[in-house]
Amino acid sequence: MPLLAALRLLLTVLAIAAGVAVPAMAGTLRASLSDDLTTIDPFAFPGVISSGVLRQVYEGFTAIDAAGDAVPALATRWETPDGGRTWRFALRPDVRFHSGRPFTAADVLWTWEHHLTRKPQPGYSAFYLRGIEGAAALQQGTATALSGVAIPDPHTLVVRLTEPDALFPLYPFLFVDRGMETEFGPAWHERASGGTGPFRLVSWRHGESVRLEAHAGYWDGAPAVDAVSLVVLPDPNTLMARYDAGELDVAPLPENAVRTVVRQPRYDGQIAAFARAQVRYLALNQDLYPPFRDRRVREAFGLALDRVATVNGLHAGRAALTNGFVTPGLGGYRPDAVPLHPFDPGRAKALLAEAGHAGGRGLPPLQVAGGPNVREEATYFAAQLTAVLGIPVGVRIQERAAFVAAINEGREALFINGWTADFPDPMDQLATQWHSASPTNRTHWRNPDFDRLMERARGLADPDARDALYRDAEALLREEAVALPLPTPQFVALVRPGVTGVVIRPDGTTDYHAARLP
Amino acid sequence: MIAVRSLAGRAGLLLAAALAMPLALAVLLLPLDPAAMDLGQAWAGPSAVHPLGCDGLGRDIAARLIAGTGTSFAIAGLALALAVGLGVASGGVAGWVGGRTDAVVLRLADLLHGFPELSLAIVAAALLGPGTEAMVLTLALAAWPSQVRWCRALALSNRTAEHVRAAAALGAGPLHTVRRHLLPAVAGPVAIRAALSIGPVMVAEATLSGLGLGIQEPAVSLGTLIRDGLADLRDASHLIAATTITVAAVALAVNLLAEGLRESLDPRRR
Repeated sequence: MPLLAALRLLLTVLAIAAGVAVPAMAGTLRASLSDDLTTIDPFAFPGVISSGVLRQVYEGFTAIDAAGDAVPALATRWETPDGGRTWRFALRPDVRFHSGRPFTAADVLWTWEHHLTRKPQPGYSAFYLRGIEGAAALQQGTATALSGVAIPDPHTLVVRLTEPDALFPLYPFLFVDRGMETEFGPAWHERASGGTGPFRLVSWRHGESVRLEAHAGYWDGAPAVDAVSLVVLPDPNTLMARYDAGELDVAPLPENAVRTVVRQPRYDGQIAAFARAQVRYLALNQDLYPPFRDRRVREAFGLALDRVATVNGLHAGRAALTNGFVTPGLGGYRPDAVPLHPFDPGRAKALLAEAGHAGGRGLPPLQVAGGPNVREEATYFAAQLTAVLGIPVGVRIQERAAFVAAINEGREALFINGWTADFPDPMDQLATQWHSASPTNRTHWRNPDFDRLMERARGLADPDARDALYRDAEALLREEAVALPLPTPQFVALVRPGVTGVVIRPDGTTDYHAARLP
Repeated sequence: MIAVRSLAGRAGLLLAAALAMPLALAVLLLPLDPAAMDLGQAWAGPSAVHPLGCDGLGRDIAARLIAGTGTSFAIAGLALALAVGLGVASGGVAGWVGGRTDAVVLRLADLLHGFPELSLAIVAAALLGPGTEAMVLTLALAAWPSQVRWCRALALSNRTAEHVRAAAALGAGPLHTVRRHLLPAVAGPVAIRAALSIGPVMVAEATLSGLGLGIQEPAVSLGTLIRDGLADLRDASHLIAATTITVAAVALAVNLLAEGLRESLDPRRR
């Protein structure tokens, strides 16, 4: 080995001396990120890009598989003797953190207590932990430990909740090595990798790159590649130029670049598509735009849009369109098969006339709002609405953060919204979007019957019984025409010939655990 | 046409005509609609029906270029009218009145002049939000400081000119002097400078809309065409090529015409 290492060093020195660019180290998979990370702190709110990276470094009780089902990760078994009020987790034995320390129930408890007591703001998982007995007291400082958690032995954890929560094992926790803070101090995450995942986070150069290295002691087998080098490339033109130059093995594509890439014959056989656990819809804010309070107007909007044509026309066939508000298959969910109303501008005009808006009479000005990723969809749908409504419908594309702020504050009447599942259960797509108390219910639609369905479902440990309530909830949303479902694009990546095993999970995490280089 | 008295003016006119003729023919002969979409024609190449091809939503590029040039011209014209109006009012008064008014206006203009016009426009666009009206205001605000300084300098030099002092000595009132001596003297130079600014202002509009800070769909301008073209730069480069050539040609034609105007109005060149 020393001889090999010396030879490699000699070759590298010779290459540098000869002015030749040093090729990527053998065994390093080169991929891209569409934006920089927002954080590498597993306690901070991560956003989509950071979450995709952190999920390869940290793990929870369960993970989401390619089909959208929950699969065991750091818990091998979970059971509830009382309908979801108490949960008993059997933790996977022989799991080691990147530090080499063993993973035990004490690490789970430490992670949770740290989320709840974190200052100045609680950790982002505190929302999922609020139902544990003693969580409120710990947050308020009237208790020093989380009383609702018991640890009978190092690989068993018992959690008592104040109310039944059938979804508790599915929540997307990231368990952290409790020895990190003692060893490296409060900013430990900037100096070391504290998870159990298949990759260690080795470096993050802000705005440039992230480097992951294989965790040789990973419980599910060490990754086949030595390392993954992720380059931050927000501009699709630069991304494609780098891929074409052979500098990338995997290039996940921004959704609005998919259509231009797949039509190029030079990429034949290099395009990989994966299902996305996302619901996407044209949202109607009835508070802000009074005509939307009339169901006939909402229905007319649905008939005015040729949504089927956009599956091929705007997504090159890499999209799924259903008449529903949950991704089929998410957590094993089987929705009712209800076809979409056909594109029917004539019927749409008749409905508008019935509602007293013939030729657009009495309709205030309207724009289709969205982030930059939906510019083409918004423009296309605005043109179709203009043709049917009789009033010009504009487009308002804003930078992503400004758009999210606007819809959170209820400042947009008609906008393209989406929600990618954080955990594998329909509750994550239904309650977050439509429950009256949800901070991400951006249409501000409220219905007590819907709220009751969600609250009942949360307490049902039997998945089939829960699914029946979810189907009722979807039927209610359809009946009320609360929003217009739109095609959900798949995740699409360019993968260099010979590279195998790269998977994009339905939650958007690009999984390199099984990736192999030619 | 005063501008055609000079060589530059004639060249500008020729270029403008060369741009306008095919556009006029296209408008007359083809059923062009800049907003009409046909997803089946996405990125179609040039054909008899679509002389410059189609964009990613199957919209006719020629129609969009014509409409976009018109919008950009209108925005630049309105923005300059506003900037010049403000410039003449504030700069002219400051230069003519002098004293503390002059100092205040000049300091404000200096402060804003310290920033590059495009940076100023980007900040203004971010504050005012997207939209056509906001774009006009943004460009006017960005162009205002240089107009102020120019108008102030003109007023200042005319205030101390011999014929103005003679008029005052003969008992002419300030209103009479402004109307009969100041305004006729500054009108030519102000018009020339405004005409010379049309090109840069159009380019600024294109830059801002290209960055997504400008006008919104379904309105179309040269800037939105550049933004759309940039998205398809590698695999449909004819989109961006057609637009950039148009921007460059329009800016050149306008500048040549303005140069012609300047040469024709310059008493020393007569």
